[in-house]
Amino acid sequence: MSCIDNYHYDIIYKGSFKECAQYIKNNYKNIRDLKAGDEVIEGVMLIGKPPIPVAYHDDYIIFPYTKPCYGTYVLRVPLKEYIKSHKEENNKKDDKKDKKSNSDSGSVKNILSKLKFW
Amino acid sequence: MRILVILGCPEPPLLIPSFIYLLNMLKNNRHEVIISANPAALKLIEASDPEKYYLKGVGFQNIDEGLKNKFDVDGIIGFAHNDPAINYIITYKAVYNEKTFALVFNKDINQEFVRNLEEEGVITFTARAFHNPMPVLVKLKNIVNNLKNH
Repeated sequence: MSCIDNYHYDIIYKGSFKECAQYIKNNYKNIRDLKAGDEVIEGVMLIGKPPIPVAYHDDYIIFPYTKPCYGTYVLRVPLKEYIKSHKEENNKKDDKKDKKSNSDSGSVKNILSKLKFW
Repeated sequence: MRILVILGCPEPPLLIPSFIYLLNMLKNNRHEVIISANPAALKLIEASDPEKYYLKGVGFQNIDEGLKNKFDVDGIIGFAHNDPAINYIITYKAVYNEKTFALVFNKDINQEFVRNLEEEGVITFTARAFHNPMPVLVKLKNIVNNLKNH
């Protein structure tokens, strides 16, 4: 299951990345330009050519989301979920701080261990 | 060198055989290989090499996981035939900030794809091919030779 499936999102536009970025710029006022790879909501990274427009409108966050076989969509996610996910992220960070002293030495090794090998 | 290979949608018939060819070249040159790919592409790769003759020791992960779990790589090679693949390669280049090569291929080359990649500092090769892998294999040899020079 993809990370975006953890959120209640609406698809409001489908097109190429360029068309989706343009759609956001044309239809929303409160826009922030973010970098490729920025985590827009927990577990969901921004994919595309920077600057990537992310809009805030009413109680929603609106951003382009790319799937390898299907193209790019403009998604609308309730801001409440966004705030909730960031709170969870901060809690996790606090937990990590407690554990950090034990795990600092093997950080690269730990990341590699997340890979599977044939 | 540790090389990360990006595979997007495996719809083009030449994609998986060309990847196996690239993997063989990279392993013969003693490179360590990690794949970030769409889940269907990973299954196709597995099905192509049931005895793990080529795949033994190769690391793999979902294409989205590679952006979350960043680790040290010395170079990135991406196959690109559609708009999402271009965007993933640009994003991997931004996240890893390492020398990145893209091979743009299809029945006709979309020059906007090439322009977008080059504007983001991706070294881009092109091959007009979709079924027949030979034009792609020639360019892959060029990319592997380029790796030696960097």
